Amino acid sequence: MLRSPPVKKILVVEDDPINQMILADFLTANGYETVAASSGPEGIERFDSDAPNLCLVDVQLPRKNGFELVREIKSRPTGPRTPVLLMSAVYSDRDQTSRTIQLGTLADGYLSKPFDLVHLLAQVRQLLDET
Amino acid sequence: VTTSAGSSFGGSGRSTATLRAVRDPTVRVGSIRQAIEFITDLAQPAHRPKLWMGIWSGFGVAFALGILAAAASYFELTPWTWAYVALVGAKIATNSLAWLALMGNRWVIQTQALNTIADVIILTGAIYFTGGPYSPLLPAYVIVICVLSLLSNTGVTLLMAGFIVACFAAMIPLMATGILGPTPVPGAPGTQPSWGYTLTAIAYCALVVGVPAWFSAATLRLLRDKEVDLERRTAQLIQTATQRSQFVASMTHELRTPIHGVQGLADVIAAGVYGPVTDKQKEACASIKRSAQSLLSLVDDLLALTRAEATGRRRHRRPRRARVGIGVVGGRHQAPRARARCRAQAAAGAVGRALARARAGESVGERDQVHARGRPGQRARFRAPRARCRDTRRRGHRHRYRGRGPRRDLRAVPPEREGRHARLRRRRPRARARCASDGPPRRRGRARLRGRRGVDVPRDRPDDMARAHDDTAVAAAAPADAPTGLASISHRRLGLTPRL
Repeated sequence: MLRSPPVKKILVVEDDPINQMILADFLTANGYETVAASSGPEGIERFDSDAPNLCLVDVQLPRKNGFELVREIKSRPTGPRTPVLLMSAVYSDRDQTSRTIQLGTLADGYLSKPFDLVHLLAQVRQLLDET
Repeated sequence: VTTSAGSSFGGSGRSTATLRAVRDPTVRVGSIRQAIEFITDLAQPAHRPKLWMGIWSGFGVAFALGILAAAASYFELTPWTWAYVALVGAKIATNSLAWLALMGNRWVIQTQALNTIADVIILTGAIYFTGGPYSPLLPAYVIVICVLSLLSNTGVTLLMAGFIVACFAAMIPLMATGILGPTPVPGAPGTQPSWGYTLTAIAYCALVVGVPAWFSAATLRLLRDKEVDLERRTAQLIQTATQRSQFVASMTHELRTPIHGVQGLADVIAAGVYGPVTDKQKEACASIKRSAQSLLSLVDDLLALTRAEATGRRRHRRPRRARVGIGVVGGRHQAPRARARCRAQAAAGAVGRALARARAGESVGERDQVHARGRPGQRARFRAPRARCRDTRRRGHRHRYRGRGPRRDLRAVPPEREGRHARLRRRRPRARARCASDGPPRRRGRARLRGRRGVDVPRDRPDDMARAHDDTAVAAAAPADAPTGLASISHRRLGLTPRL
């Protein structure tokens, strides 16, 4: 009997409830299991307890921003194996490229809000080696 | 025995007259007009404190020199003469006149000029009555010049220096020809100084050294105070700028996040995540998304303007190295800057896609709306070995290259990237004429907005955009709504192939 592959788990750390809902619903509809967190500390807590396969992290978060969160995630034993996708509405696509490179050194990918969900899905699949 | 270097004009070291003289080459140095400007410059209200300082120090120096004259007579260093009284009296009179004028705020410049000229004449007289060319008072001229340079401006100082030399040069020939009789030198030069001479000489030395030192110290203190004030203001400005930057960043986030929500919800609904969707509902979702994108464009413009104002940078700059040339998107009546931006935007998108298609082994043809033509080297670089490029020029397109970089220009523009006015120009000559008559300023903003809706280009660096596409083979194979700008770079870094 063929066993179906395990469902990949994605941690969505986003403080805006609507955006959190959109991301969670969209990823769930595309066959992923999602875990949501609304702040930096909660994101770390969820990361430790749920061991997600990928993290989707907003930059501006209450109590602990996205950069700090990425740093903490990467410092965990499973951190280096877990891709992190940063997203932010602060830096638009019109900003200078160095900004993105700077962000890219911290995380495995970066999306500038508002982004197309199709692109999000493509990035997620790429990072999870599903392409 | 009287001189009052202190009763000089007040003024700053680098006056507005000096600045005007530097900026305006037609004003010749030394001209009467400029000299008048230097003098009248001292009438500025900002110079009043220095004028007051000159008045009070003038009284002080006149008093001190009067005492010196009395001491010299008392110790029999020089015979008493009423000329000393006359000279000190004249000095006090002119100084009082200047003081009264300053009090009443009338005839200020005139009385100050009289007072300063009187200083030099009286001092020359004192020098004559104390031995002429052998007078120990000769260094007192230095006091005058030193104080004038500290309290007035360059022009006045130079004028008075010339006047001093003229006065001295007038006195000596008169003495040499016998018109002015010889006068005794105080003390007995060449002999052992008496105690009276010693005391008087020490007091005189203190005066000659002390007055310039006091003025120098006062000026330095004033400068230091200004420096401290400047540092404080700079710190305030830095703090304000930081707060403003933080505010802009915060506003960016707060304004873009809800738009992201609107757009995302439209996407999710259209994708059928919340249930089946009819075609009409899909169209509505697409409209919502388009409106959100328009709003986002406006918000970005507004924030960019705020940021540019905060940093003091020019908002519109032509690309420094436009690596790509392209047919004009929005029409000839656009402002040059907007035109350059549209050109770069369209080029970035079209070149990137065509390049990648060529590298992928596909032919580059009419559907790409591009045509590669350039110098040797660039041409080969653009065209893939198996690529087949064709000129897709069409009537109605404008073709020009204005970049300063390598000419890898793509000559035509996809119709959907054309501006409204380009379409108008092709179809409706009268409408085009109407648009053209509107003039460039109002077109800039619209053209900019219109251009940005299609391909998003970093404001100041459209060439980065082009480079991003140029280097990315995969990005070009992406559909028309593939990520552009920073998002495309992110894709490239991740080696991602976006799919619909």
